[in-house]
Amino acid sequence: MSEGSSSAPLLANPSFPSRRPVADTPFTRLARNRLAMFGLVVILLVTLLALLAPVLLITDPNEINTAARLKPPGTPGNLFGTDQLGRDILSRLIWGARVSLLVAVVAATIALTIGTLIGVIAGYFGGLVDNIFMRLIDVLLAFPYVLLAIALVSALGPGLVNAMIAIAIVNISFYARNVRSAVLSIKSMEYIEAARASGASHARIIFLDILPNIIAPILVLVSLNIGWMVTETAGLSFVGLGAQPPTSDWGSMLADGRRFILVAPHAIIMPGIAIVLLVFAFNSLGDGLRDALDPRLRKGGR
Amino acid sequence: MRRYIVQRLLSALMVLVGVSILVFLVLHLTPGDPVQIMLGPTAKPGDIDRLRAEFGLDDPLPVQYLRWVSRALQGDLGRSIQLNRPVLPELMGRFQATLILATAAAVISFSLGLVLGVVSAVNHNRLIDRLVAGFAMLAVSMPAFWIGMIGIVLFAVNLRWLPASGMYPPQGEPSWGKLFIHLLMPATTLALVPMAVIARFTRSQMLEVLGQEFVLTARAKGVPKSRVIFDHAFGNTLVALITLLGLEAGILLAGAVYVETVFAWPGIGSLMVEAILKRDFPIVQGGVLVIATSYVLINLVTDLIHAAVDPRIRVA
Repeated sequence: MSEGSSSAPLLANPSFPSRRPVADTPFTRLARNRLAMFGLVVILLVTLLALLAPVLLITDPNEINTAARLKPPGTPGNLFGTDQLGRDILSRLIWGARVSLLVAVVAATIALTIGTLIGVIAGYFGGLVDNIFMRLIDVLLAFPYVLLAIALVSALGPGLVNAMIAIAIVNISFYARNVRSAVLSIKSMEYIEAARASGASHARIIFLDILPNIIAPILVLVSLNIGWMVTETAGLSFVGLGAQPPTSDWGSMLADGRRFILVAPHAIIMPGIAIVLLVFAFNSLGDGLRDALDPRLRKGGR
Repeated sequence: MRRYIVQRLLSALMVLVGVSILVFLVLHLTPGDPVQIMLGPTAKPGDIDRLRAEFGLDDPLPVQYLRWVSRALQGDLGRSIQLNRPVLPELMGRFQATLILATAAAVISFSLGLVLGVVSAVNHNRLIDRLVAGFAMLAVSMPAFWIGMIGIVLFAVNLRWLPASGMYPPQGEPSWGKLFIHLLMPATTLALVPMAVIARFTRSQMLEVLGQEFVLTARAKGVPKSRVIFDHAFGNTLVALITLLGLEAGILLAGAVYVETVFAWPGIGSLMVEAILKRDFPIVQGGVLVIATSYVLINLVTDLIHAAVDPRIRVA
């Protein structure tokens, strides 16, 4: 897997006894990763802005001002310009961040919970149970991700909540498969066998011995997955299957701006930059976490 | 090998059965009676009941499913509510446009992705490696529908180099040249994400092979570096890349939904989005079935090719 397997740990080099070894924990490894730290800062900033939206001194995101339609960025009072109804884009971006983040986090939580449950049960018990679950997951995987989400939204009806449910369902297979292989990799370890030999129940082994030991890979999965969910929510809203007016997220802002692409490209550039920035932040944090938690994969790229 | 083929065919068949059940059930999850939707709000209850019986909607679900599958196998996917035309020919016409777009994107992403990956691996940890890594990271973070619009603003509106939408100009005879010009921007947009994935994969595969002992032995024997890179590392990477073909097909088929919407490309993805918004369920159901089936088949073919090229697969 890794490319630098030959490099021996230099940190514990006995020829420098006076120097205390630099700590090499997952935390310090993550802190040294500048890109991951950048991601973390962006995520915290966006989250903070989204949480504080009601108390920030910004214009009402839905205040229509037909006199000031499609004003370019830099207009006094509208730093990022205005949209086709004269609404302030900066304010709409901040309020839209609430929607985008909420949908992504809730969808990720649902997918994570169900997927982990399936993955742990399938991986731990193996045999027939494993076989049945994995064949079901195979069927889910037979659909390209977006397609399954679209099919589900079409069944449930367009709307933000339904889009969220669809995105969650689609991602169950992602968590189930990865968690299953994580469980398989530690299932036969001695401490698990010891627990079983000492008469611990299955539930006890799963919750006390297995789950705590696969939290690291799960954390990586989540951070890599949330970025994708932000994009996907925006995509469904963009084609009209997600957020419905008056609610708007970054995707529906793009859909609105698309009709005025000739006269006011800023109306699509601003929300787009917001999406790219946040998704990039989640992806780089996810990459950083993976490298920090699993040194075998460091610098390996995927 | 024969045993592997049989095994793989059986599992693909099972997945297809599962897919068809899921697609069938999703339609039955839909709130609202299809007959009601067809007849509109002014329908009389008696008419609804009669039509329900006529369509067999009163039969048990398994019976309905079997009837639906046997019709689908004969190429009958029902009629579009909006267009009042059979679904299958409509889908196939649109699917062709999607295949053209996806194939072009596949060619772009594989050729550029391979080059970027190899250049990256050969210049491991140098500036160019970092630049490619940054580009790949950025590319997977950019939604295709957004970068497509930026492309339109840049290349169609401002520079006037490329057409903004469609497959052919609205007037005049279709020709290969016109198709090519119209294809360039949507295909490149669609290619960005898979290109990044391929570049990252190629890089890590190359690095892994270059770090192995047989490469070291070859270098020690005096084999020139360029030959080691191309004969040993690149050859092995190509075999590993076959596994990515299936993944790539998924990315392309899914991404096509957005790219087609942005560029008004007359493919199956944009057709399905329109159909959902107009609640034309037969089109949606048929479209999902067609795409999922072709995806399963692509994965099957990919696995078989991989097994043919790499003997380790069939044994395992």
